[in-house]
Amino acid sequence: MKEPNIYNKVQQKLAEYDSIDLIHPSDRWYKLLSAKVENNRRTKPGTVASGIYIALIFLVIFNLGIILNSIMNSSESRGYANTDLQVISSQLLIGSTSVNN
Amino acid sequence: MEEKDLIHQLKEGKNEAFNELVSVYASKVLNTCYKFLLDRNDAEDIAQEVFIEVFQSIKSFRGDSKLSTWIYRIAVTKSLDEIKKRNRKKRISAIGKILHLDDVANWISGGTMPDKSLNEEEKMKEITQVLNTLPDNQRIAFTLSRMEGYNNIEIAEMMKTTVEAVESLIYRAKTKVNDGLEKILKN
Repeated sequence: MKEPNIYNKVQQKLAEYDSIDLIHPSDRWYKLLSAKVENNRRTKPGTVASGIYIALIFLVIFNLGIILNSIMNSSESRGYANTDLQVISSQLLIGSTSVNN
Repeated sequence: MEEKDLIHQLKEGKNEAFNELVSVYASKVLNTCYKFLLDRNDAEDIAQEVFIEVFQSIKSFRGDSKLSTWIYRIAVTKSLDEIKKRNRKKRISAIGKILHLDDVANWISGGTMPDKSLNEEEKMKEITQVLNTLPDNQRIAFTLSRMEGYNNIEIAEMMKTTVEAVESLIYRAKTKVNDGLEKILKN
């Protein structure tokens, strides 16, 4: 069985919670809210501007990607050219050794 | 103004409509936040966030529920988010204190506010501690059921569930709160 003392304390705590005084919005609160809403309304065109900025940044990154890609491709083709030269020179080397023999 | 007209004008961005909305719902939104947060300053800040959210997303309001239900739902969600943020800060601050990083802990927890020691949160320390252990749905049902102006039908609409489910949530929450308070008050 629950101790009456504890039971009473619990009920008292719950009663305190239930009887929290109602609060009322102050004039300052209303003023602050209308200022925030107004600010929000005004910053809307800014979102368009930030959208343009994002698009510009995206474009720059995209172009950089294309440039990097072309650099990589050219170095790769240079690499292929190098291997071709290596094959030719090794074939020449084989040819020259076989002539010597 | 009828609700339908009010919504229509809000969607058109009319100032008068927004002022009317605030004057009708400000008190209940503020007190709902206060009942969850138990701190007047925090409740005022969150209530303002609620109205800004309403202002920003009124265009996406489809009218599936009553406007009031939608607004109070936002108030509850924002209050719970704030409680979670507050608890997270407390945990980080506690870790900071353990590591003797008092300045960092103080900075993270938002600094010491002397007036806070006298607020409702301090007075309701025990019940806050118990409420923090409840799952969100039980906490919402319990807290709103202890407020004037919300009946179980409204709570069910806000929680998008049935009245029976709300009754069950309140019953389970009540049992946990009673047991939790007993444990705390015994020590």
